[in-house]
Amino acid sequence: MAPENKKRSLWDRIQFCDPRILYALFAVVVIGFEMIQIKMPVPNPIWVGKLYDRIESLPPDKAVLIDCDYGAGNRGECEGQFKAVIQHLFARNIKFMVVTWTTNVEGQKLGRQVLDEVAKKMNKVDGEDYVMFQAIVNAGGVTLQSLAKDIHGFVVKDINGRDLNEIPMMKNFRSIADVSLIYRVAYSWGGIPWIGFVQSVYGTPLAAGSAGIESSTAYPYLDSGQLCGLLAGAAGAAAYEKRVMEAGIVNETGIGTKTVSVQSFATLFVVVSILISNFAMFMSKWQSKRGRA
Amino acid sequence: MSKFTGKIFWMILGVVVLGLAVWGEFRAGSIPAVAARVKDLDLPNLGVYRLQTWVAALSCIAVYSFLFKENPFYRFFEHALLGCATGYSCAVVMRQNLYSQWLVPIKKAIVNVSQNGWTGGDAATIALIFAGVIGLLWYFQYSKKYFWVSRIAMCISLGAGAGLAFKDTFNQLIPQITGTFKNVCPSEYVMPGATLLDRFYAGCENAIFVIGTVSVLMYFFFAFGNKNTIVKSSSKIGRWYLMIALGAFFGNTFMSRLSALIERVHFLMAEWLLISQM
Repeated sequence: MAPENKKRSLWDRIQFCDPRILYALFAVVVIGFEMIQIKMPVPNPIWVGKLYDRIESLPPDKAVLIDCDYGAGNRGECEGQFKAVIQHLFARNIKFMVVTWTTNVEGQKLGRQVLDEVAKKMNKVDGEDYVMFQAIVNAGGVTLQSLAKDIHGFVVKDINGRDLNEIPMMKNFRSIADVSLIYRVAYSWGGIPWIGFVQSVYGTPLAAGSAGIESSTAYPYLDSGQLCGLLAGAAGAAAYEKRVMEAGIVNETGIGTKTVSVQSFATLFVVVSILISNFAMFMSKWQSKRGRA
Repeated sequence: MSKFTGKIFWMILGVVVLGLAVWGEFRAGSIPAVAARVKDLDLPNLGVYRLQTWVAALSCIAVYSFLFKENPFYRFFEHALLGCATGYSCAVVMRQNLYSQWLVPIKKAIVNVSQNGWTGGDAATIALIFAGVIGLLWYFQYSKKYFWVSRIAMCISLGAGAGLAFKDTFNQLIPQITGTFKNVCPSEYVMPGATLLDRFYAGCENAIFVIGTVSVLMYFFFAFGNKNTIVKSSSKIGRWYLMIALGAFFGNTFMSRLSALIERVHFLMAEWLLISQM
């Protein structure tokens, strides 16, 4: 509690300042660096490289299954992760299926927007190079088992209402045996039990793009080999974007790189604020001790 | 800052932001990036895009206004979001799942059976009717008298869920357990081609991992009192490991929330006010 009955010193005022002042300063920092856009060095995590190399070595006759389950709240991190990976897949002419779930219809809306935009730029055709469908997820395990055994039997139509049997690219992809990689991009990488019902049963490699919060829980699975790659938060997206750009697939980096640059300065602001407030606390204590003496 | 000067400050800020937004509207037609965005999003014209952007920007500001204090502007958009999200989910699920993946296949199968007789595939598809009936039993929860009927659906869900969870847990955790058996002194046979220094580093990493696993397990071992020196000291180490892990979790949490904020700020600056690069 703020000391009320005596005149507050500078150090006390720093400690008990209105949080709204901090919000305003924080907003100024974020807005300022968003406008200036200073390019910061992008980290190069080992697990991003592993996913990139995995996609580089995928056979062209098999498809990739992308589980697009992110929402508006984590778009800042996951959109970059999704976009960079599909750019890479398109560049390598690897066909992919994007599955979204009834529990998160936002995933379909946001994913489709990005997918259509990238496909248009890279001259790819819906139904020939990629397909998107929505699956019911009630008890996740049942859904995944059914999907793994018979994609056409489980998902009858794609999101445009076309019968899966009539979509050209889907003629060759009927079960998980025709899938060379599963990539889940979502707030929580473990929200859908791909490991328990598909990766461990059929041995299909699984990679994830996840929000920073949830990425911490993925490391034991990377260590045990159950996950073959991870894009963690905006930094993961930025690292993948950098690799895609270095490979000459795109001319510029995306939202992940922009986010990382602003994030670095915003984090610095928070660290400095913490240091100042702690320093103020010690100074205030020292002053009151000196006053008593 | 007195209440009066505070109000003046917020009014000036509001006028400046609104002025920038209006200025952005006048420039929107002549910015190539805006035209490219309209094309990328497959929108009919610039007006539709700007209208969408304004709605999104106002919603965004309304939600962030909660940081200042609870207000009716925030509450209106909060309720609008909930309503829109629920309505949108219902529409998508009904159109893409219930209609096209449940009703249409059943209808097709019934027509097939009536024309060509029973086949295994058609019978299985028609059996989906029972799934729908079981699902509908949940709605008995709204009746006090027939509440018990909903328990049938509940029992099926719980039974199936428990079985599936069992399988999921085993499949996830067995490789985790085997993954913890790490070699703290890797030989050349384990790491072929690695230098002595590489093997030493790998050994150190593995030792940190093994100590962490054992000590954290000790921390959560409540079967006997921690008066034993080995248990006591290892659980202390375990606590340190946990604190470091929780610190990392918190750092990641902050980063995630920050990314969400930056994404919105980027939208407001680049797409609404048109004062930063898109």
